[in-house]
Amino acid sequence: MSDTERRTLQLHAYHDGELGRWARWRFERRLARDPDARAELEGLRSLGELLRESEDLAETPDLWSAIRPALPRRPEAAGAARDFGGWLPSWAPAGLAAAAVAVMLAVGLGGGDAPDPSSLRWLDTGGRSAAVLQDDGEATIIWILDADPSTGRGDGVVL
Amino acid sequence: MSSSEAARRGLSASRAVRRVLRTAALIGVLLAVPALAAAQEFDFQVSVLHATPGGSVGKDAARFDRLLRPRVRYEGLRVVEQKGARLAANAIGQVKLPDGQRFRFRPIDPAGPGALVAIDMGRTKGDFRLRAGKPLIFGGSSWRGGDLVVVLELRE
Repeated sequence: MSDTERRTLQLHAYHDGELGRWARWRFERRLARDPDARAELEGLRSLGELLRESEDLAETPDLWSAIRPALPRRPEAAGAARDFGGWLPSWAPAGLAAAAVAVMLAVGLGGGDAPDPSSLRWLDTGGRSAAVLQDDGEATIIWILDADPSTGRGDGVVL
Repeated sequence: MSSSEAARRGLSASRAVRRVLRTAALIGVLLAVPALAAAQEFDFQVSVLHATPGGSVGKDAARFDRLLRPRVRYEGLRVVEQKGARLAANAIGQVKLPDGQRFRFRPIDPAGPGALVAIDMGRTKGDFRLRAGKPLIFGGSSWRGGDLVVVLELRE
């Protein structure tokens, strides 16, 4: 990572309040010396304000209330609503399912820091069949099913 | 000595101390950079095994047998060859296999965890994120009525 990239990352982390106390103090010292960084930070702040303003301005119309009466009512959906005690709307099961999917996605995406136990990143078997018999935290086993010997060439340290 | 002269002397002394500290820090950095570069070396072990339809499992092949037995059908397993190599990033290690193929490996990205290693064995090529204690096993090359199995491990 270059110094510029590192500085930009630090700048964003500082702007988002993600730096620890020591890192924040060090970065503020650096900010005091570096007018470019100060200008960049100012740009980030004004961009954030602009985004917040546009969020406030963009009112999302409630289309669902207009669409819902026009949709044909399915008998099983009405039954499902009754199963939920009658006090939940008919689309509640679908809403809950969508929420569950969203939670699963969030958990899955949020786990980016978790180490990936698999090893295989890329494999080219030269047109031959191969099987990945195992690729987990214990071992990676690749089996070439119709392997034939062909001597590789090239430089390297012969052990 | 006047108070202003004393203050001036004190200031120049503190400047000298700061200069010494900066020089020491610079020397520290200069010494640390090659040390860090040297730290980017990886300790590999390559084991070449022979899995056969008959025979028994050799003592030194027992730990590989535990991994392979549930997945591959064979009876005997023995270590044909075992070699170690200490490689810097982008250096190429190479082992000539008994069937004439060459097994080559190269740590291409030292950034952890483990190392990203490019593998080349005959027509088979691949990139793998190797971690210490987690062997990468290639099998399937026919040799002397059995299969050759190549195991690449990153050691601690």
